[in-house]
Amino acid sequence: MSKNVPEVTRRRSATGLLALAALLGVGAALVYAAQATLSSYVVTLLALMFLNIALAVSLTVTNGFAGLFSLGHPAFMTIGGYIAAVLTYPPARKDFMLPDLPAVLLTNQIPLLPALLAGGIIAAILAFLVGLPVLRLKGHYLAVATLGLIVIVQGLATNWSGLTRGGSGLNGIPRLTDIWWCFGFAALAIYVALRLKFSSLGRAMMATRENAMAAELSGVSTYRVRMLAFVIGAFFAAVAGGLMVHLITVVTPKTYSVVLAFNLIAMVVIGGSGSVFGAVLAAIALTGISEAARPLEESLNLYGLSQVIVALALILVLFFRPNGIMGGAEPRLLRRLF
Amino acid sequence: MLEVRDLHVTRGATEVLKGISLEVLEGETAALIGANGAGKSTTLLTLSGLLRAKSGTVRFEGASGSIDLTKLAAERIVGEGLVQCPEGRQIFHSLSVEENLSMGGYLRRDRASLGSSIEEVHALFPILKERAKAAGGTLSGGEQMMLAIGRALLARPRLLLLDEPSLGLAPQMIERIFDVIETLKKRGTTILLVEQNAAMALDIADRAYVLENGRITLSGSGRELADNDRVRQAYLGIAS
Repeated sequence: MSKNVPEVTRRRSATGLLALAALLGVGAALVYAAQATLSSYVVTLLALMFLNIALAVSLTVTNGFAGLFSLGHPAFMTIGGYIAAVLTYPPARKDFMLPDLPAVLLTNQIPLLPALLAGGIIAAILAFLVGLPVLRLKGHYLAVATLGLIVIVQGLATNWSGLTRGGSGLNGIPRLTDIWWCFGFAALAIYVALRLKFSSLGRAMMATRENAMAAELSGVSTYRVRMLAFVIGAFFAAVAGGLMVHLITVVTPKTYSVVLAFNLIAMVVIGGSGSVFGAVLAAIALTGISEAARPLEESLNLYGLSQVIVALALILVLFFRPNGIMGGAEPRLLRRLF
Repeated sequence: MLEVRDLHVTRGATEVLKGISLEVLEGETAALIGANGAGKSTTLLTLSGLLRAKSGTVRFEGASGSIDLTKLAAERIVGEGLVQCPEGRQIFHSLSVEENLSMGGYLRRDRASLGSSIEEVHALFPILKERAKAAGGTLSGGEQMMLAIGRALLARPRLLLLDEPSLGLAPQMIERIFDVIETLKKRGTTILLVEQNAAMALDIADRAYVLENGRITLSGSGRELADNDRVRQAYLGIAS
């Protein structure tokens, strides 16, 4: 591997960096072209697709690399969304929308980026606290705990009216996100996930998923590695939630629910658990399918059709390709770059 | 190098180890033999910190001096140089052979010498180099055993624990694995070998212990135990 000869490694990573920059440039050019030619509705759709990519990729770190079964993404997105919304809300509107806010929050307004980070960090801390007892247990307790977390966060968002305006949610959130934010964030998520995957820490995550006992005997603290995977996923989910809230300009306690957790897990499984590239493909496909199904739902009065299609796609993939489209691997080209 | 004193271990409600004591000196190969359920694997898992002792001490001359392993976390124990190659190979099936090996060097910070250690393992098991890119799960049982030993060697063991390396392998492959153990022994690696295949284990061992129902019932040099009537009857299948 790359460790043997440092000189070659350096040269390879230099060309790798160049290729990555080129890839990013192509992506940016496409985004620019899309923004110039397509309707604002389609551009918003593409922005949502980028956020879905970031969400699926971050869930790949938690559920794919480390083999945890977390349903927690909607909870972390809700937290990130509300925090980012409240922090960026103009004080003039806060006066009548959220009059019961603590004074500090009522009079101050901060830019989007620190607001996103604040949401991400608080979600990461919450994930840490949930993981503290749960990740010590063997088996799928995390699924149950994170399912509970969704309910708890929804309950908090509904009843902590002073901070969240209760069940009616927050609307008229400033539209601070555009397709560039979403593109950049998706690129960041992909980059972080791939760097992680081909690092010794990422390998330790996958080793823990494969055989926890052997990982321990190789000197891996499986508890610590799982915790990291869970916290990283939560951070990215919360930031994505913050971005999404500022794209759609509305957030309610029910915006991000278990259905979303199901859709994201479908993306990870269809893509091939542990494959970043697969998760990206599946996120693009499922976002496209559910948007395409929307006019059908309306004209045929078949609401919920897109859910049926997603579930059907999941069943078919599990039947014909149990390991998902990519089976946990990455295309050879990507492997060479990282 | 390793000194176990009056070790008691319970699993669930059962007391599996009822106060065992044994020692392994630096550079020697010790064997622990016994029937199914005698507590051999429990002993090794306790040494590695995956099971906790109820009482007793485990003194080990580790990287940071003489320490008691019974309170140490599993990953710290590996760092101290007590490395186990577990029963049933336990390789990482979907990771490549190469990745499996580098997992063995997970705690090593000396990246440069890791490369030469991998080459040493390749010299010992050429098949692992040939199949470097293959997924670990696609290897045959014997190759997986080599991979498991190679992985353990990459952790730079001061004391290598081998749990049933002959388990489920063809006789020819068992010969090869024991050849490798012999090679490691000649290179000065300290080894604690757990085996049901008592004949081969006693043949290679400088020191041996017989474990029965959670107690050490016999000990001596490999030769002495191989000549012992009771061992011959119970473990070597030779009527006297």
